[in-house]
Amino acid sequence: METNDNSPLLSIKNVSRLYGTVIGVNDINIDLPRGAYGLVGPNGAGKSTLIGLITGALTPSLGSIEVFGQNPRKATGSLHRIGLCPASDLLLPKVPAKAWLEQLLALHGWPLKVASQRAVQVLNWVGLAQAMNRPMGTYSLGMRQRAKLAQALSHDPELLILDEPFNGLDPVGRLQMIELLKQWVANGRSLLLASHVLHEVEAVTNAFMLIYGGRLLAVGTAGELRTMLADLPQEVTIEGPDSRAIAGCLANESWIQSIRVSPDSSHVVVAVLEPLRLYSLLNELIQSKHFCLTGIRGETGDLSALFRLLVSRHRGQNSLSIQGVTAHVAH
Amino acid sequence: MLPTNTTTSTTADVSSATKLPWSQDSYVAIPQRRPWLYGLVGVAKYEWERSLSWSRLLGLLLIIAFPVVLLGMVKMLVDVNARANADQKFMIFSTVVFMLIPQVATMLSLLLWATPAVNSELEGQTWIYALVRPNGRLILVLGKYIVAFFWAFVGGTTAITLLVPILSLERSWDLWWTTIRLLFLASLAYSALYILIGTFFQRRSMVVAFIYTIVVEGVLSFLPATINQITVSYRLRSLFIQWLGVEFPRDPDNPFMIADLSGQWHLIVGILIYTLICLTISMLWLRRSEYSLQPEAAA
Repeated sequence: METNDNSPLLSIKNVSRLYGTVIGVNDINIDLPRGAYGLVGPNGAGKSTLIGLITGALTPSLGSIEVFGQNPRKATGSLHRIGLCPASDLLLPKVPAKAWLEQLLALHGWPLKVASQRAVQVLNWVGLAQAMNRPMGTYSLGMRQRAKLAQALSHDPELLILDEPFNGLDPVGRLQMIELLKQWVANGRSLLLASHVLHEVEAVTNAFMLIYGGRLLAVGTAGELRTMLADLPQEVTIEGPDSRAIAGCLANESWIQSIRVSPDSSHVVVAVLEPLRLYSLLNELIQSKHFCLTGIRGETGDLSALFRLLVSRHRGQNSLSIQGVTAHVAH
Repeated sequence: MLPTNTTTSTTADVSSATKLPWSQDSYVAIPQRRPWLYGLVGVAKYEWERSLSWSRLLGLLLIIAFPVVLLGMVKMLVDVNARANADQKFMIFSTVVFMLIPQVATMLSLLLWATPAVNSELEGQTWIYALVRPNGRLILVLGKYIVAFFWAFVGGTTAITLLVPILSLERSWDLWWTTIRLLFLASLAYSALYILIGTFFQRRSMVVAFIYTIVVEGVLSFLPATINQITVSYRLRSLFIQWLGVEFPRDPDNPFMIADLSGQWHLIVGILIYTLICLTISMLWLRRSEYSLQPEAAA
């Protein structure tokens, strides 16, 4: 069902969605060409609401949204081009996956016979061929996830939207899912992958949209996000026999908030406002004073810290407090 | 870092593409010529298969058995205390058959099968899959309407067919044919009514439908006032009297209990229009209603 039109994948203009007095998403603006994107944000950030708006399941309270140049709510034909795998679990204990897929393909206008063949083909591809005539109540969570994925792929969409597809999958299942999505993207199809786990999204695509509190905070690549993380106030652990001496060298720096030396002097924990300056200084100290370090550990890449920074910036706040460390945020 | 509100471009590397089943040259996309027809057939087949569960079949059996057993018991009592002549017996039994089969049993059956059309999908967390198909929600509910109509009609037909030899009345087959026609119309109209209630009230739809049935089709239809003409029961009752040819003189003091018996088509057309209106409103409502996503807390 591929088309040659040049309409953008997604065009969202000033979209807000309210649930009564609660804001689901707030003033989102974005234009995306075709490609693969990760929609990253913690639980409750507004990912599912945004997906609901993109698929036409929800209407924006304000603003307009277009998918492939069409309003998905009005031009329902555009839904042929979208495959959605929602986050909610599948509660059809008595229905076999094949019968379910046949019905969903029929809703796309497929004749029953062709739908049946197609269902077998797709279920085979997601590894459910042996179990396709079994009631889904006998499936494991991973199998149900694959059944959900199969229905999203079955009608040959151009855009695949997955909401938390890794939930409940074991490591092998996650790897298989990642490989499948990589192939999907490699075939030139578009993908929107919503997750609260950055590294899972990163395994599939390099483009991210960060959403938090209903706001789209930033769009960029993983490298750009990591650079931002590296520049966040954080605690850095420096390990090695010379850690106490290093602590002494750092004590007078204005961008150091606190220094804790371990009782056995094996490592020192530094709360630092500007980590990049710390790393630069450490490099100089090692070269000039020949200090011996065995390891440097920063934050583990906790996205929530980045989110909080971006929220503060979005609100126009000049300072930010993370783990007791207050930083001035540059605009 | 790209600022918000900025267009970004990320294109997948297609050079190393692995051919997937849906991108192979042999695969040809299916033309969408009669999507509604195929959709309805697909949903009807799916719902039909789902309805063949033991619990649903047991429900159907109870709905069939309920009028048969009740009328069988009435028959025994009337035979034992047989003072009534054949015409009076026919009048008594046919009236009870009308009340039980095209009315109570059909309503009960459709309460079970038509009313939860949307609610069952919401509870099974499968409504979203219909929402993301073009006209999926409309086709899904119409498909459920067809299956609900079918089961109600089959249940009622089975019950009246079983009753013919049990009652062994002189004009048993007249009663059978009249009941079948009334069943058809009742199933059409009540299915549409309960589907409408089910789409309006996505939660507690069965409670609302039950109360509506008691108040409107039960009480209101027997009120001696023009307002009873909005009920299906009033029209079915009038058709029953016409088709069966029973003596039912209109009470001059109470002319509103049955319709003018000079014609049947306005009654039939009335029921069909009622059905059409219910289904149309359901479809319009479904088109504009939204999937009840849990509100996500904003910071």
